[in-house]
Amino acid sequence: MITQIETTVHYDNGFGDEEDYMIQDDEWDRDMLLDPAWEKQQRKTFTAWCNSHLRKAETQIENIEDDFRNGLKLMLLLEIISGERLPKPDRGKMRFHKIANVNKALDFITSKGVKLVSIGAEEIVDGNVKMTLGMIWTIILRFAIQDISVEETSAKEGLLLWCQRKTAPYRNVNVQNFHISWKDGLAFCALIHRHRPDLIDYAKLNKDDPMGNLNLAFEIAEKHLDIPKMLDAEDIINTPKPDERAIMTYVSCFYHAFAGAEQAETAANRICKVLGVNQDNEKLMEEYERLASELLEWICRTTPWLENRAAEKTMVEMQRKLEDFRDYRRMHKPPKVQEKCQLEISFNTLQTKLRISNRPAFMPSEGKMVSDIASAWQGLEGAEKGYEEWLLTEIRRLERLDHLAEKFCQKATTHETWASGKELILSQKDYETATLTEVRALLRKHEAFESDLAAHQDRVEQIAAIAQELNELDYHGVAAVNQRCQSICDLWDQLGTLTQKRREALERTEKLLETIDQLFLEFAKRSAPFNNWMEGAMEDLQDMFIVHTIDEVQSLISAHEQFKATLPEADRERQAILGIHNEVQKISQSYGIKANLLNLYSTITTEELLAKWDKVKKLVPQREGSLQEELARQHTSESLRRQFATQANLIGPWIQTRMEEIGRCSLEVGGTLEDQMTQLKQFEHIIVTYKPNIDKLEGDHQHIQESLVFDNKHTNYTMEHIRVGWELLLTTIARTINEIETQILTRDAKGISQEQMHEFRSSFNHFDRGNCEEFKTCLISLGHVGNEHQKKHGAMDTDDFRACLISMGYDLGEVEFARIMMLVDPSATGMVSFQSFIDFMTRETADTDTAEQVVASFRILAADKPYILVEELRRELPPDQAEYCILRMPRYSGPGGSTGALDYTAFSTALYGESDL
Amino acid sequence: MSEGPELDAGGRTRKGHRGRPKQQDQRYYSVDLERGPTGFGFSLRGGSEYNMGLYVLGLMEGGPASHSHKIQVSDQLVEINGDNTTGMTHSQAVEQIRRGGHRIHLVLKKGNGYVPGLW
Repeated sequence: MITQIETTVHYDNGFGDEEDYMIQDDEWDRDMLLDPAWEKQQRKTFTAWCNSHLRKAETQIENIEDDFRNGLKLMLLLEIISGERLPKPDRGKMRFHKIANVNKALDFITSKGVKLVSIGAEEIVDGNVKMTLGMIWTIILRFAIQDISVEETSAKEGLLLWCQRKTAPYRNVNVQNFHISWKDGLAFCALIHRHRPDLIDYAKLNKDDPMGNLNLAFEIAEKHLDIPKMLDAEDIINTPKPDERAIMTYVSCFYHAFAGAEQAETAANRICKVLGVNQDNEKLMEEYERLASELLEWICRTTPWLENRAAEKTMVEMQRKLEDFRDYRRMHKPPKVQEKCQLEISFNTLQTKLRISNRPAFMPSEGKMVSDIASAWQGLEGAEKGYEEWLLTEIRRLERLDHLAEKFCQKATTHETWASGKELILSQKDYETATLTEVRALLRKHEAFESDLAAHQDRVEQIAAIAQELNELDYHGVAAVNQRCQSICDLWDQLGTLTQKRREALERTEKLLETIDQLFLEFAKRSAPFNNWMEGAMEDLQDMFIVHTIDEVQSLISAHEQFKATLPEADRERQAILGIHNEVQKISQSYGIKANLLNLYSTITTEELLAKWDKVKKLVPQREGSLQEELARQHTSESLRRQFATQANLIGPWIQTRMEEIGRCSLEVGGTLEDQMTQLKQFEHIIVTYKPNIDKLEGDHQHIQESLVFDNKHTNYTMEHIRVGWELLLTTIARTINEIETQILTRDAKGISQEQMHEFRSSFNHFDRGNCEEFKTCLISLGHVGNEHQKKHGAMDTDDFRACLISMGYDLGEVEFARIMMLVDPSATGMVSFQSFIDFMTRETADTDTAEQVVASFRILAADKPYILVEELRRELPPDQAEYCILRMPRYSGPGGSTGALDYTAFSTALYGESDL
Repeated sequence: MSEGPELDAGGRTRKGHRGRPKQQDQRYYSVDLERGPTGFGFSLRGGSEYNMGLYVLGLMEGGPASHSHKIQVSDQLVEINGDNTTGMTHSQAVEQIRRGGHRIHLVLKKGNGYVPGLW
């Protein structure tokens, strides 16, 4: 291993212990006699050594003591190893021929300064092994080893020293001799590795594997170093001390193999050195040429770039250019500066080297002289000068341009945004459909816009100024800028024109609308009263007059005539109002006002006015007709009234007279009831025959009603008065007759005397003072006669009744009076009729006629039977009464009843409204 | 039948309720009678032909009506076996009661002790 090389090896050490190789020749015989192992080793080694040379003459030996006996191969060997010609050998096969040839060989050896002690030709020819081996060793020593002389030492010493030097770097190798030092084989391997490291991997070797190591070394030597195998590994290993001569012979072969190579190398090195100088020079020349070409090429390439002062359009590009320049100055140029310097140095060095090595001076090719390069460089520097300054100036200019362009862009964008849509807005015809208020608002808005527009004048000028500056500064994007500026200016002019136009349009519209507004106001002022007049007129014309007199109709007619007289004036007003409306229409049509012209001052439309006017016009004759109709009707009604009044004025008093007559009759207590009855019957007859007069009046009344006449100033009597009076008269006469009848019946039935009846009557009449005045009272209640005091009729109220009873001698407590009231006024009306009064009075004065009495009477007729038969009834009672009973009596259902038996008890109780159940 | 405004339990004036009497009205009551050997034991007065209502005129001593301890003289018959007596004549009422058989159901209105006369 190289790393194991020790640099401090003292080669002189131990030399004193070694044998003196200069005197060893004397000991050869003794040595030869010693060890058969050595003999064997020597025989093998020497045979191989001889063959390694003999093979050059294409021959070899098989047996070293036999093959050299005729001396021929010996001579051949010597010729080969010495390179010299030996005397011509004897060709005879005789012994002496052989001896002569051997001697010739021995002589040649001796001629080479080798003392051949005790070696005779005879012994060689005889095949003495020891002699033969000794002779071969002498040859080996003389031709293979003696030349080895390192630092003036003996041959053996020289070989040993060589071995030591060569193996010095290998730690595990220590060559001290030519026997045991070689036993482990590492020394052989080290020698090989030292010279041909490619052949052996020394690091893998193991000191404890002598067999492997030796075999490896011998095989490699045989195969690659042309050293035949001279020993077997076993030969070395199996002896305690290998044969020194055999080892030396083997090692000498290694020495020759490597030393030859070293010499060749040295020679080659020398040649190489010379050639190397040339090559170096040539290389330097080429290098110079190459460098010079490259540099010139670079300079030629770079100079125009630096000379190019064409400005880039954009900042970015200029910045890149500046960056490029910075790169050039910082990265590209510095190495070139060095290259140039190196080139000059190389050139000088080369010239010096050429001078020293006696070579002709170097002449660079055309145009690549150092001076050419220098002048080109100067041109480069000249171009470079001012380039950076130009770049910076240009960048500043572009910066300004970019700034300006950006400013232009901003201002343009702002302005465009502002201007966007303005054209459309200004072109709007919105005022055509606007009202006056809206138009005024539009005008205010437009004025605001105008001031806004004026404010933008400056901006547009600024934009144009910037565009101008960009033009002057030759901005690269100036075309786009100019186009944009132009469109802004165009739009600006357009806006100006449109603004002016719109203003004019707005002002014109305002004026028109003001005019219309005035007209509207006028229309409103005049149409409202006119409309009111028409509405009033319509109302009046349609007024549902209800008149009852001719005078009223006449006054209505004259009012209507007066109204008609006002119509022409109204028509003039109507036309004037329509004229106003038409003017508005005319203005709006001729000036193209599309607004929905709404008259805010008035809710009245011309259509309304016209419709109403038409209606008024239509209503006038209608009114006239209906007034005339009414006049005729009133005339008719008046005659009807007069007719009715004449009749009613006769009938009314007639009825009153009759009522008074009847009343007087009932109050005349003097006469008998029968006299009264006769007189009343006469009255009744007169009244009945008077009926046609009433009917006629009803007929007249019907006419009046049908003519819808409800008043009659010619009489106080209405039909209703007459009717009520008439009915009252009828009922009074009937009731009065009935009262008299009843009194007659009561008188007869209860045996009340005429005097008693008079007393009851006068008492009742006393308290029922108004009997004869019912008709009058009736009139009062109907509100037609003066307000006389009101009285009850034919009945007493509760208090009167009590007073009446007291006057007749009844002492009444509250309870008793209540009991009596229940009897006389069972329905609690608070009134007591004369009939009830009489009934009460007779009950109180006579026996009561009860159901029991009737039942007892029937029982007498029925001969005490609980029932009565039909024939019994017919026999006992008048026919009318009998049939009445038969018809009404229920069938007797009690015990003992035969067919046709009737229940008189049920009948009787039913007659009284009382039944036992 | 002529009546003043009727007052309900809450004392409020009730108008326009002249149909069926209300059971909760204290003045009205109903009674069921079983026919005895001589009838129901009460006598009746009145009817529409007399322009008056139907009133209990008298009670037979020991009769079913008397036994009911409800019916009093002067009470007015309002319903007979579920039929309203309004417009009923005397004989119709009698027939209605008799036709009813052994049992009658009456609704009456309490009277004030006085049976009205026929006139």
